Amino acid sequence: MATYVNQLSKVRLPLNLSLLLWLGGAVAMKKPISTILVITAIFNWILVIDDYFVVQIQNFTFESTLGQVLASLRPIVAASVSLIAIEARLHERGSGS
Amino acid sequence: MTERKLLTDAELEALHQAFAYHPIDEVWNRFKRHSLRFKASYIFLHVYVVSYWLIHSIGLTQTLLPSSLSITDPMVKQVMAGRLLVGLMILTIMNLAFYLKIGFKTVSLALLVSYTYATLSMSLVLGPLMYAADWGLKEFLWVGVRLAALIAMWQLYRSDT
Repeated sequence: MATYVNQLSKVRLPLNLSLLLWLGGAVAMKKPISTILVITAIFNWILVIDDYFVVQIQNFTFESTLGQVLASLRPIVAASVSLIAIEARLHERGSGS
Repeated sequence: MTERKLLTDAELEALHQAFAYHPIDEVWNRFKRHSLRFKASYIFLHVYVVSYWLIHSIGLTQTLLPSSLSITDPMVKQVMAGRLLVGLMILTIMNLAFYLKIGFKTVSLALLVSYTYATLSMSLVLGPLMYAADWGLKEFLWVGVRLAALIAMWQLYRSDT
């Protein structure tokens, strides 16, 4: 279990950070962002499936309330990123970029 | 209010297609018309994920894994089962997308992201172990098959389906 938790922090965190940096870079350089958002949304859904169906994070008792709140917000975050990705894709297609 | 259309004509056509009945012969012919690379990737991924799942479900995963990686932790077994199930789910949706001619690229992207994540996650544990271990045929085969699976997913994502 400890190895798995170690993996989570060493793989997810750098991946999420690099996606965020990629998104930031694309926004700063005024490049299309919908593909990055779609990849982020897919990645988030995979993490949600991993956490809820495999690790069953919903049964964990977190030491901090903030951890508990963040864990329970995971599916909402994934759904929100998906909606933003769809909206960005529609917008980019509409503006012809 | 923006002036963009909610759906383009191509998407409207795709939606019509989604609710149309496609005879299996037509779907099979469509599959046969694709390049050899696409067909090989598509079939290889199905054989890979399904056989991996079957071997895992009868408890023989250890025979597939490099000798240096011993999975005794029940959580690791559970994680592997979960990821294989995610793979099977994505493959099912991919077949549906191919049949309905809609969303195939997105599903292949999902498979690619999921597999890259699983590979990175596993490499972190395996990397140091395998670095120190003696490399035999099994180890090379294991790395080779994973690499082939990644390339196959990339091929499906790049295809014009």
